[in-house]
Amino acid sequence: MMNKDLQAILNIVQHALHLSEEEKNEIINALKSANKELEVTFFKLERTEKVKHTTAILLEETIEELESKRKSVEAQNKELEIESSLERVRTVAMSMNKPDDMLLVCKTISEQLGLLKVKEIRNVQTAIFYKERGIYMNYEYYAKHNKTVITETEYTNHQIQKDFAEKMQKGNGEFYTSQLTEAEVKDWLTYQKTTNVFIDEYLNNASSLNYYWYSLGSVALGISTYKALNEEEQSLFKRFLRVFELSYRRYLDIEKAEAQAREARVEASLEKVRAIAMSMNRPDDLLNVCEILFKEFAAFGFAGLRNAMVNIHDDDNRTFVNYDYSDEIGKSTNHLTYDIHPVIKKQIAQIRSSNDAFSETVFSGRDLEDWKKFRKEIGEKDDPRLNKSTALYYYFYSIGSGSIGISTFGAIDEEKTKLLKRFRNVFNLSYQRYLDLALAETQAKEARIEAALERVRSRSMGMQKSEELKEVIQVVFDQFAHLNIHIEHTGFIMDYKSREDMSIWLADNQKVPSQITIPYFNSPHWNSFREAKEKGLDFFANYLNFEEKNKFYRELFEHIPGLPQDTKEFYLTCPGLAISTVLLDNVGLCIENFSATPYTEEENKTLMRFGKVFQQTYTRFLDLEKAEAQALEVQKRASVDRVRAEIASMRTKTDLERITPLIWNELNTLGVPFIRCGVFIMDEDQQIVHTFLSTPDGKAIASLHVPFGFDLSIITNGIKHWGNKKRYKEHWDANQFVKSWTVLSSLGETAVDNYSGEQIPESLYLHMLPFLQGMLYVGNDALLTEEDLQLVQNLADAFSTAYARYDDFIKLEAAKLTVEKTLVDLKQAQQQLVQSEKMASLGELTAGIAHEIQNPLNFVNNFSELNRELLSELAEEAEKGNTEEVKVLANDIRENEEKINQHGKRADAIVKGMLQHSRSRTGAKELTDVNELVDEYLRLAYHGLRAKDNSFSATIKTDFDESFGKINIIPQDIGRVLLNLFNNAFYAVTAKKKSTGSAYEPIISVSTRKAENRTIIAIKDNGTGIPQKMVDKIFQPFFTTKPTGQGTGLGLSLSYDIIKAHGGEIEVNTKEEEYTEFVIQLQS
Amino acid sequence: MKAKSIKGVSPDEIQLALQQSMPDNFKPTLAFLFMSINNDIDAVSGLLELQSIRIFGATTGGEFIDGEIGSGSIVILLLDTSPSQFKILLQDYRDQDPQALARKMAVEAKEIFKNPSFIVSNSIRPTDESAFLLRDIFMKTIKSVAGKETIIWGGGAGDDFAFDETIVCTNHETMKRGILMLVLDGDKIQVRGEAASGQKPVGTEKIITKAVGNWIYEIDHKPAAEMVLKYLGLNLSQKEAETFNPNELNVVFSVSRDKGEPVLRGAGLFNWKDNSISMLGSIKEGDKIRLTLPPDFDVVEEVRINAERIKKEEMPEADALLMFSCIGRLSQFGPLMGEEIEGVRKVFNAPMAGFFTYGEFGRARNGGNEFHNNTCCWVALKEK
Repeated sequence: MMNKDLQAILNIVQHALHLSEEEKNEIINALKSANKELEVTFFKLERTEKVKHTTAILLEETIEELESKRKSVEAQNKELEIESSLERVRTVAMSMNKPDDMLLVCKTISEQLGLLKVKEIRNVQTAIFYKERGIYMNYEYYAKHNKTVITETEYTNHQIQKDFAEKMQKGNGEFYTSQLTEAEVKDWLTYQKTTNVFIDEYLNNASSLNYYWYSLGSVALGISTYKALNEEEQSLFKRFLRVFELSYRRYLDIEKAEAQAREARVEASLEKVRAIAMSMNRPDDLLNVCEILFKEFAAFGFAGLRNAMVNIHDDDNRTFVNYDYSDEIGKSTNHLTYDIHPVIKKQIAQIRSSNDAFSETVFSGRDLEDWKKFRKEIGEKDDPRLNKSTALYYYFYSIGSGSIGISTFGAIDEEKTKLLKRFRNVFNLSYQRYLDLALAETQAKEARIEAALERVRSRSMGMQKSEELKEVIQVVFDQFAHLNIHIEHTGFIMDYKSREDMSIWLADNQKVPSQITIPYFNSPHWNSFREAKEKGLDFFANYLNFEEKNKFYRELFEHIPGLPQDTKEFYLTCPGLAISTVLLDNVGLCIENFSATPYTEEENKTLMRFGKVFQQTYTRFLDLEKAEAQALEVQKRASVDRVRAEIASMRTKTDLERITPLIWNELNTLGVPFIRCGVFIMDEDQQIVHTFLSTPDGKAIASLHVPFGFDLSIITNGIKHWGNKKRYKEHWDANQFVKSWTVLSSLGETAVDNYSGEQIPESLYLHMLPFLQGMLYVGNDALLTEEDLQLVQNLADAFSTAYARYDDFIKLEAAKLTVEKTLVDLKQAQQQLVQSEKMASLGELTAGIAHEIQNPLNFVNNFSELNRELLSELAEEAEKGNTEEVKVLANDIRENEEKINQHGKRADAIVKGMLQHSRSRTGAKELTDVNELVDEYLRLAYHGLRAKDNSFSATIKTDFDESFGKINIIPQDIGRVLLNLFNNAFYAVTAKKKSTGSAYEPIISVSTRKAENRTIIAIKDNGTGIPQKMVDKIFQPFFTTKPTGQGTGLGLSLSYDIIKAHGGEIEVNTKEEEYTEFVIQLQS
Repeated sequence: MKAKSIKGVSPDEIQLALQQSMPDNFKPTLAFLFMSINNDIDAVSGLLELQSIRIFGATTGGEFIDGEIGSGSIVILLLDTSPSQFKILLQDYRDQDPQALARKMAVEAKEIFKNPSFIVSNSIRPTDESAFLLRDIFMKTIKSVAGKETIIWGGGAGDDFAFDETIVCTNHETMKRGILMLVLDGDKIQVRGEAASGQKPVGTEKIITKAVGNWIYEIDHKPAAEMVLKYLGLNLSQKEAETFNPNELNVVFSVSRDKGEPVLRGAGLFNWKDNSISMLGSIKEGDKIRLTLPPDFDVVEEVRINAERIKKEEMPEADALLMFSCIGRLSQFGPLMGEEIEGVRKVFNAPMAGFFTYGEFGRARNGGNEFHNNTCCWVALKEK
């Protein structure tokens, strides 16, 4: 697309007639070229225009940015200036350590604001508010005056101040501002002039007064100006406020920390007082309290401190004790009366008015001189400082029963008074505790004494034996020690009224025998004792110095044999001897110590109280002595009885091992001293000594059996002395002990080892006391007294009697054994007889059965023979073709076969019955037809007899009651009874037949019938009968009327047992030579 | 190596030109095909395939073989170099991790030649949020595999300012999301070029305060598009803005790097709804940018003088020339554009083809391999 103008030229050129084509083309090309140039130029212009535009924008932007950067740098510079100003304020504020330092802070703020071009600053100030007092402390710096002022300002009097104070006290963050006009300023100045504030004369010409206050809670920072601050200036001031706030808070924290530190110091100080008061254990310790108080008060800067005091009042006596301390004079204690001086009287009255009372007294001028004189009069220590002083102050706080206080040469301020009160409070608590403790201690002491006495009392009452008195005295000793009474000896003086010597039971830590008896000898102590005894005194005390004591003891040792040398030396080296003795009714109690410190009154009082308790002990002791004498007698008797009883219960040799523990126990019971014991039984028949010995702990060891001729003196001499009924003693040392028991070991008895055990006695006295059967042995490490030996002899005698009975019993036992053996033999014989009876009855049965079986067998044989023949006939007839005959014959054969079969069955039944009979009697009951049973056994008996004697015959009559059914019995057993009875019957009739001849017809009648619930079977024969004298015996075992060898005598006995076992009855009715009838009744 | 450049406005013209180029025993083996996306790519590649010529093809924002700049046309630079001295790789990155794919391709190239030189192009969908970021990734990936000093040149395919779809192709494949690599045997073929822009950063430095993908939403906390319009001196109403086509506005930012020279990033699309602009290369939040002004007109002369210096000092002769010039330069240079192209061509006096790209791969004088905007990259090839 060509430029319009060029196109126009082109058109002209193309249509120009005067130009040649060549010229035209030249021009056209030039035009085209020009057009191209133009196009490029236009493009360039256009693009340059665009770029210019963009560049302009970018330039503008860049300028803007530069400007903003410049502003930012300016702001930064300004900020830096502010920051450095703030930093200056911060530095000043941070170094605040008291409120007054706020003045410098105000000044610095003011100066820095000035540097930061804040104009017309009047002042910079802070205010600390005290609401309860309606005031604030105003710390101000007036810039134009270059003046700092601190004013306590009452803010309730003027509305401006009121509004300001109220707003500020609303809390942190509150802002107060007010702009006073020129007129208002005048009024305000007029008012100010009526107050104590600094009067700023510039206000006279000021056109305005502007306040800007910011509250930080308890403090506020403000600025006042003669010209209102713009917003920027206000926010600038606020930044100073922030700096001030941080610093001020830090200042408050520091102040708080300092207050805490101060408080901690007070607490630490109080703690010292508390500690010393807590550790008090007697009134004089109050002086230590005063000392601490003094030192602490001094440390707290009590100016002109003279002394610290504690007064303890005694209202009852109107007296008081004054404890005081000062570094100059030291500790002193004064006992004074309430009324000694009017001032003191007044002070005490004040103090007593309440538990929290405070008393303040000032002496000066004449009063002071009088007071100094008075002090001298009552003999108080001279106080040089007081002499020089012109005034004297007393400050006391009540502690209830007294006061605590100080005196000073100058007045103390309120803070110090408060501090004094705090010390009072702490002391008071501890002091009350001390008082409580003191009271408690007295009570505790009394309780301890009571408890100690109670222990003695209960031990006394608990005495079971008189000798336990030594334990009681030990308890007394322990209790004195427990009560912290210095004691090295205590003694019971026994029966002193009735004796002319000293019998003392002792307890101590030395090895003095617990019971000693000493004659009176001339010594200060014994003399005092005798004097007291004569005068009937209940108490005396003695004190021996070193020499006196040693003299006394040297003489005393003469009367105490065997006292170890070191014990003696102990007594002789002690510094002295103090003894207190209380005398009661025939008994005394004394306490002693060797450190030569006499017992205090209190301790002696305690001793008296122990004495009273001991009186009871003594009574109990006497009762026990009496009772023990009686008891010993009873014991002896009881012991002997026990030995008898025990031995009487012995039945076997093994029982004899109980001998040793028995002897051991009894010796213990009788109180005989011993370490071993035993019994030697002399067996003359076998020439053996049976020894029963104890182990060292009283257990028995297996008996040793030592031959008479054994070569050991205790054996040989033992036997010899026993023969002579004499006691025998022998002594073994350890070697002999071992040797003797080695010899005894050769007997091969392992138990010997147990005897010696591990304890081989160093010294052993063997006492052998004779009795009828041997010797009683008691071994001890010392010889036994005659008294003890007598006790042992009693025991031996008792043992003897008892042992004799044991011996008899052993013999009796042997005899009994013989009889028992015979009885056993007899029983065995009986069992054999029962067996043979059983076999006999079986033999009888077998005979009967054989007959019974023979019959059916005959039938079987006969019919089978017959059938054989008939079969031959049958064969013949069959050949002949005789059919009729064949039929007849066949029929016969069948009939015969039936009979064979029938009889075979019968034989079978018989055999079964026999088998049943031969079974043992363990059969069970079963329902049985009694009639059948009777019939069967009747036939068995009959045929059995017939088998033995075929000449026998008898008439048998049966009468069976068919009305009853089966009953529950053991059929074999009842069968045996029946068989027995039938046999007897047959025997009886046979015997009669033999004796009477043919005229006699034997008849056996058997009947059964039912009566109520019973089944009755009666078997009667008309045989020989039973003689009346024999009737009672027939059911006894082994009784028989049969010749020897024909009956066991057990048949009826067994029958009787069987019927009884069935719960039935069997009885006999008989008449000699006429009949016998047995009737059996069985339960249906 | 012999080279010829041909052009045409249709496949028919190309067929004719191709025939005419080959009677004198010229047997080309490789063709750089730069053509309008609106022309028939398949037809043209079919013609080349008939002659067994391997194709390195890309659609353009305008194409040229001399000082005359075509639009909607087809240009081809034909080379008869031995097939053993080059290899063309093309991969679709749509379903793959583009970086992994680029790495794979670079590794393959490295396996083919000991010292590979790369001529690369790629196609994108310009409206995709991260479309322009890909080229930076490709560049970095190839560098990391083949080495920092590796020779890499090329340009992103264009679509005649439509900013819709672009295409790269070889003989049988055209891809809308493809990475195209011509791998040359560096030991056999010398490759030398230079990237120049002449853009001048001006004004104060600004910070990208909000960006998503390659879209800038805020610069110094102000809406990005608004700010750009201000620079351009345009006061548009909302309605005007919505219909405004910014394609030729040629807004280019210089993005400063922690190390090395700043890179140029041209603005692509405006989104008037949220006042954002997309960049034709990677940017991120926090990047410091300055607006640039277009080069002075004498930059054309400067480019030529530099080319002459290179010719004199390093490469007295060239067999062929390629040129990848940013599409933005079209509006910057207007009728002068041809001068820049022709200036370089005349220096070497060798056959040339080139196109207006959507971003350029290459290195500026004294710089490293980068992906650029608004530069002109010329590349001379010479068989050793």
